[in-house]
Amino acid sequence: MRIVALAKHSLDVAEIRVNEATGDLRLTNVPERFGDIDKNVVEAAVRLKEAQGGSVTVLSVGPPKAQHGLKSIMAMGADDAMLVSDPFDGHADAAVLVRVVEAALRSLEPYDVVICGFASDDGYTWQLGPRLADRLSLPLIAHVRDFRSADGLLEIDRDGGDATLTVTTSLPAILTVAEEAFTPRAVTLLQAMKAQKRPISVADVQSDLGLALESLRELQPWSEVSRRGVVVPRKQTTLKGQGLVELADHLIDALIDEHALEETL
Amino acid sequence: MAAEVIVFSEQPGLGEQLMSRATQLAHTMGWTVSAYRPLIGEGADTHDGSGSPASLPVPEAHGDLAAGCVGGLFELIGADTRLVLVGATQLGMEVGPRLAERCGAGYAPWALDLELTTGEESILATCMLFGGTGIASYRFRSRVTIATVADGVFAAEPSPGKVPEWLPLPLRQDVSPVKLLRVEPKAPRSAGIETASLLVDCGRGIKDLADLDAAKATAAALGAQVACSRPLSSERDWFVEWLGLSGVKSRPDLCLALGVSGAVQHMVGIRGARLIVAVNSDPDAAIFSQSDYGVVADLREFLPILADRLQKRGVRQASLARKDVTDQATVNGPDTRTEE
Repeated sequence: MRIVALAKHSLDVAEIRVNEATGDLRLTNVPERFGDIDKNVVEAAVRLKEAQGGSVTVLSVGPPKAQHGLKSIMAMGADDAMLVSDPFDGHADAAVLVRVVEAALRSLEPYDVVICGFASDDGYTWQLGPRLADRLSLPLIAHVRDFRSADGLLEIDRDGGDATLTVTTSLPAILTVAEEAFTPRAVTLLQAMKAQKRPISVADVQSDLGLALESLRELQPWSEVSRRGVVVPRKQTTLKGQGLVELADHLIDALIDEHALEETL
Repeated sequence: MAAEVIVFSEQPGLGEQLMSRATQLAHTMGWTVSAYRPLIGEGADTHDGSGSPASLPVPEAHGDLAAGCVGGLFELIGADTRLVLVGATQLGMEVGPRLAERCGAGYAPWALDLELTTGEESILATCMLFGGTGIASYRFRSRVTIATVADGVFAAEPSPGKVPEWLPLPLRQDVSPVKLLRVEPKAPRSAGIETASLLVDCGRGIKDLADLDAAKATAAALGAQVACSRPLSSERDWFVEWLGLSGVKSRPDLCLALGVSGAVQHMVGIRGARLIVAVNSDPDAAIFSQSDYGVVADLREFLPILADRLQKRGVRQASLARKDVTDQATVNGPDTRTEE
C-alpha cells in the first residue's frame, strides 16, 4: 500500500503578537515548524503502513528550510519525502495551494491512501482535504479515528459530528485526522539518524510539476482589504501560595474580590 | 430561477441564525433566499412542510453525507446565485470547500459578517484569521461566494425580509464509494453552555476519566456548567459539544479553564468571558497570557483541594454574577469586548 502523508510547515500561531494599540499582527520572526496535527498525520500513515505493508511518502509544500523538520517527522517511519518549493511563501489561498498539492500527488501516482490533517495548525481553515477530494474525484473520509482492511476495502471509524460512523471505502481515498486518535510516537535517536539518510526530493512548481505561476495567481479569488489582531486584555496574574490549600484560598479570595464568587458562611 | 442566496445547515439552531442574516442581506439587495437541510431515508417522507428546521430529522445515517450534500447544492446553484451561507459544523466545513472547488467559487471560511453591494467584486467577507488570532476582510471577485459561518456568530432574530421555508436538500449519493456499516448517534446537544454564567472548561490536560470526575466535582462545588475543548468531544466522546471557533461561543461571567493549553481556536469559544482563570501544570502554557488569574499546579492534586475549600468556605457564585447571559450573538465577532 502506497501512502502519502501531507504535512505543512506551519507558523507557530501562539507566537504571533498583536500590537494592542494598533491591532497590527506581527508576523515577522514567528517560528515555523511542522505542527502537532502533521505529526498525527504521519503517525496515522505509519500505522497504516505497519498494518498493510507498503511505503509512506511525506508530501509538503513549503520553504527550503522545511527540510530539517521533514527529516525529523520522517523519523517516525516514513520512507521518503517530496518538498514542493512554495512560490507564494505561504500567502496563497487554498484554491491555489490545492492545485499545487494536486499536481504533486499526480506526480506520485499510483497511491492508495492520502492522509492529511483536518486543518492546518496555522491557517486552520479546514480546506485542503475536502478540496483535494473534489479535484481528484476521490472519496474523503474526515475525522478518522481508526482503520482496518476488509476484503480489499478500508474499513474506517470516524467522527461524523452528531454521530460516530463506521464506513468502508474503496481505494484510493483521502483521510483526514485530528489531534487525538493518532498520538505521535516517540522517535529514538537511531530512528532519527536513519531518517537523515532518507531521500527528500525538492520539486519546483513550474519545472517539475508543470504548473504556470500566472495561471495559479489568477485563481486567487479575493484581495485582502484589511486585517487586525484580536486582543482581549487580561490581568495575567499568577497566584502563589504556600501549598495547595493556600493557593486554592488565594484563588477563591481573588474571585470574591472580583465579585464573581461570594461567601455564604 | 435560482435564488441569489442559498442557506445550508443540518443544525436547526445554526440554520435559523444563518437564515436571519441571509434574509436581512437579501432584503437590502432585493434578492431571494432558499434554505436547505439534508434529508435522507425515512426522514424524507416525514417532512411536514411547516418550514421549521426543527421538524426535519437529522440525517446522520449516511455513509458520505458531505459528498451527497455537495452534489445536491451544486445542482441548486444557478446563474443568479451569488452567495451560499453554510453552517460551519464538521459537515459544513467539508461541504463548503468542496462546493467552492466544484463551482469555482470564492470561499470565506469562518466568516463573521458579509457586506453586499451592487456591481463588480460586490461581496466583502470578514473572516477569522489564523484560527481567531486576527480578523481579516476580503473582497471577492468570484461570481459565487461561499461562506461558512459558525454557531453564535449571527443572532437568530426576526428579519425584515421574506423568510423562506426550509426545504429538504436532495442528496446526490450515487457516485460515492463510501458505504455506511454502522452508525452510533451521539446524545442530543444540550442547551445551556452558550448562556452559562459560570463555566468549567476542560482541556486536553484533563487526561482521563478520573481527571474528568475531579473537574465535574469542582464544577458541582461551584454550581458551574461543564464544557470542553474540541478533542474531548469530537475525539473522546466525553461531551456532546465543545467550546471554540468550530463550536459554542460562550461569554460567562467566570470561566475556569482546566488543563486548557490556550490554542486560539479554542480561546475563541471563551474569550468573551468577563473573567478567565487558568489551572495548568505547564507554566509556559499559552493560556496564562490569556487569563486573568493563573494557577500553576497539577490538576489531580489541586482540584480536590479547590473543591474542598469551596465547600468548607461555603463559596458560591455571587448573586449579581448569576444572571445567565442571553445575548450570545456576535460573540467574538467584530464588535466584541475586543473593542473595549
